[in-house]
Amino acid sequence: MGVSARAWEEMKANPDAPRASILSILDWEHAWHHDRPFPFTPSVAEINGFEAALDLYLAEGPEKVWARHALTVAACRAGVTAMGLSLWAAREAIASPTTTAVRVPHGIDDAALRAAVRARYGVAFSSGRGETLGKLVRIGHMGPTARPLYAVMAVTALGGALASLGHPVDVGAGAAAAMKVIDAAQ
Amino acid sequence: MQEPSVSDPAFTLTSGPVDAYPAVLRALSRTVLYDCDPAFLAGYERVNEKAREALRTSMPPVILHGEPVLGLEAAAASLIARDDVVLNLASGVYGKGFGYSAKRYCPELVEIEAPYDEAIDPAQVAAAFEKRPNIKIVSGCHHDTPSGTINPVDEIGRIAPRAAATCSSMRYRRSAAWTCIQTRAGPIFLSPALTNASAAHLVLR
Repeated sequence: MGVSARAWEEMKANPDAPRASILSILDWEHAWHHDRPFPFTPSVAEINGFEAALDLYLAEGPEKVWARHALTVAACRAGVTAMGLSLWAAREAIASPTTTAVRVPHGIDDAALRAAVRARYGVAFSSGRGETLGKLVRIGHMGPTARPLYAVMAVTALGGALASLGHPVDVGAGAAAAMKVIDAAQ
Repeated sequence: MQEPSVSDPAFTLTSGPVDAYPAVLRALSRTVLYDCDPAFLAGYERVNEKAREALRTSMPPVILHGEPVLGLEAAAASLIARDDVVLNLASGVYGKGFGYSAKRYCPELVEIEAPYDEAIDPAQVAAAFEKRPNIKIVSGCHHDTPSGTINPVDEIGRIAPRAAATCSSMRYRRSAAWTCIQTRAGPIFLSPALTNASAAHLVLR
């Protein structure tokens, strides 16, 4: 969590800001320094894992990481729309670079769709959540799966499963569109 | 009771949690040191410095030890004072959800809602400040993951301090620390912490 100087001032000036609580941020202000105590025991193993993740991120370079995600999501969106499916986001400009949310076609049950994707191809997608549950499926482009070729896998698995449920789509067109985006970036 | 026989999927292409890099998994299996051991204390400071570099902030970040919602709830509890008017921006399940946390700490929550396949219009935020200049805190969700949509936090962030010079603007980016980094919007307040095992690799998204 990044905290600016002004945010520290605001919290310190707030008489209701928690202290001696799991919800306290103020208690952690100086905990980063090796000479200062922790308010409570940190998660040692997770700090180790976090450091490894930071090392990978900094070694690759943030701009390259973002570009890799951007290419993966562009390939996925191209594949999904080439199969005649709709993105959930009203406009591509507001669509996430880490999650492609696909509108579930009319007459298709989202749980049955995800079950078919998993059973036929061994691929797990996310459902919607709360208000969006049942209306969309989500393909993630995160961590090790933020690699462009995973977009081809996602598109073909989604298309194949839809066809199996009686909603035929052109899987070949989807794969070709995704590959075209990937190859154009080489 | 019969054990369910369900095998793992071959590929987890979900919107999180997802698989972690082998280097992260190896690090998680390292010897667990005593938290007051000098080696861990030095390492903790080193990790904070790397996190500061990743977040591109001038000061060390705070690592909260829990699921990212801990960071969101802690932010609400720590920043919102009892008389504050909070403007919450809801264009999805997560943005809406933060309003329920915020409401516990303030008497009045003003909310701008957008359809869940849309994004918040910055002009509406500016209009809200015109109407209610005493808005003290703005909360919004950068990446509303249940909708797979992104809100224009840079633009919103530029409006909020201009409209109320003394306001404390709070922005959080649910489940995606890399988006904090990506926008480089001169952050007032960013979260969540990336501290649980499933979140440790989210910084790489």
